[in-house]
Amino acid sequence: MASEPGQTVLTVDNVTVELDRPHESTPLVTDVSFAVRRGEMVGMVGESGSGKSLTASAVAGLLPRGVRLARGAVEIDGRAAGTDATARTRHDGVAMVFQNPMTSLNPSMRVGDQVAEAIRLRRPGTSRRDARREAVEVLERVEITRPAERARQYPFEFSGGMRQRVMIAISIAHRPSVLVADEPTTALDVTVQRGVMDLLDRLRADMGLAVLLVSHDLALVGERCDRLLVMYAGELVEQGETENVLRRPLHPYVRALQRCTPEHAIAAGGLYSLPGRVPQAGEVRTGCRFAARCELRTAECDETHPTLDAYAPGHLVRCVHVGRPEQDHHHERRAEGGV
Amino acid sequence: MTEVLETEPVRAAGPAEPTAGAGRRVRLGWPGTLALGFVLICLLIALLVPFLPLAEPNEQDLGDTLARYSADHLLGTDQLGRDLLARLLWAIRTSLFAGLTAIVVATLIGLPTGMLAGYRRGWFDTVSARIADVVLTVPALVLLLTVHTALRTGITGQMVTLGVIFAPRIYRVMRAETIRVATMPYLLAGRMSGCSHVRILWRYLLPGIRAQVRVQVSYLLGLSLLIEAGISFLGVGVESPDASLGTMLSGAAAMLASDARVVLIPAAVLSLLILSLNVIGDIESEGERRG
Repeated sequence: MASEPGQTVLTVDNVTVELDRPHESTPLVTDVSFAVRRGEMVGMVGESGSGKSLTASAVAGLLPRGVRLARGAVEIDGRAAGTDATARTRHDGVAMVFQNPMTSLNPSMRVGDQVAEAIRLRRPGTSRRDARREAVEVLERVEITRPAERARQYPFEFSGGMRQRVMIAISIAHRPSVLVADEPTTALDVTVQRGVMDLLDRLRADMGLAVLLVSHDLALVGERCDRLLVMYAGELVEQGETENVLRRPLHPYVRALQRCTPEHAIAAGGLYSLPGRVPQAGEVRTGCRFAARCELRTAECDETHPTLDAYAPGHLVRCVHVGRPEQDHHHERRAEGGV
Repeated sequence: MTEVLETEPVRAAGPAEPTAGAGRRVRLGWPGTLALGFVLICLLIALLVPFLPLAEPNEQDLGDTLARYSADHLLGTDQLGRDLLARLLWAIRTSLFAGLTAIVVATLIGLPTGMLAGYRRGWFDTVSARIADVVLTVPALVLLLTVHTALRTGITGQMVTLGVIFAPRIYRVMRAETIRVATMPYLLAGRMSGCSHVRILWRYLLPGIRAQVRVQVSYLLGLSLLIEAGISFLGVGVESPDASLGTMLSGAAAMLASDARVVLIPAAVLSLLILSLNVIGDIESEGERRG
């Protein structure tokens, strides 16, 4: 997984996404900041409703109807993207792969034409013929066998895994520097999942793509990603190198999440279930958003909203208890280079 | 193993049968084949009738009225001695073109506004939906009588008016269909590819709702034929002596007791045409429901 630390190509700065209503502000994602470097795969994990997909959409500039980017900026290749609060337009330089490959291809267009369309729209002036030939090359790159033949077929002639490869082909056709993959393998079989993830990994290495992988599968991101971002109730609660976050999690939420995995269940002799649920949008209260479900809850947790602070270089956490002596024996301090 | 599974193209049994928008064929069955055949024959007649060796449809021969079938007059003559076959074929042309005028106008108004309303939502949706509601409250016949009296625009004007009256029906169906298709992630994927909104509407949305367009067009074409006949019968559509299925009926209505043939032939053609269009519409919408 080691990749040369390239320059930062994606900077997300204090992005806040709200419901698009005129006289109120219901934040769904609050002040999310992170950066992704060239050739790096960063995982974003959290429960359903934690705001990870919305953050991903905001990065790609494809926020759905009904929500808006209230504050913050997304910078791609050093250029600001979508600073206009009402902008729902896609961002150049970013591509997105969606969760369900069965519905993310246009059923009435030949697969090759869909890839060629992406090429021609981003590079006006490309002839139809050139775009078509390039489309076949891109299909070959995502490891579709007999690409020239398959380019003339319609999406219904493809299996789920193959459709996801086509979707990836469409998204990389115009050579973006950032690829946002929103649960790209959740709808696929485990065996097919591996193939798609291997492909993403290869593209990341070959093209120097910066990949933001959104998932709720801790094992998957743990295996594939260089760094992890953990979201809870619309904000980042922990961020750091994959190894640090998974081996030595700081935030009680991350620790609880790990205890919910089957791997842990085997070791512990039973599956742990984290009580409660992610707070609904709008019911966010003062204090720590995780307090209601937290084992370490104290009066302080209910009063002050913790900030995302560096515990070690590159390892950030949002918890008032981290860094306290009674906690510290869990972790060995390690100074590591990070963003 | 998994590679093999993955790379095998998924094909339905038999020859590749495109689904959803990819030129999917609906199974017609024999009623559908008959209906489609009849409509196509009528369309062919409508297009070719000026070139057929027919008698002059408006030429009267008062010495030879209500003649029986003969080599000169294959279907005989009507109460004014006009050749019934020539009149019938010209009537099919006039009526179908009138109906198509209404449909084209209705589709040109209803389809783009419906798609836009369903895609954009917001104020355009609200405003256009209210306008559609208002138009729908206007009784067609009353409006057509008024337009005829006030503007005297002839059958084309009447059919354009009818098209405006029909537009909200197409608008509503297209709006609902668009809302359904617009939730599909492939539209978002298209946006990501860099498609403009116009391109999304044209290449991503329209193919998904095409089947419903065909359903509405067949139903409304039947209905506009009926209305053309109705207003021509009342004398506010096609004007005599020109032949349309409506004027043929009105001119001959008095003959019903003495020589029913003069009435029954155009009536039968009109009924069959409307029936056929409805059968086609039913089959289309059935196929659409099954997806």
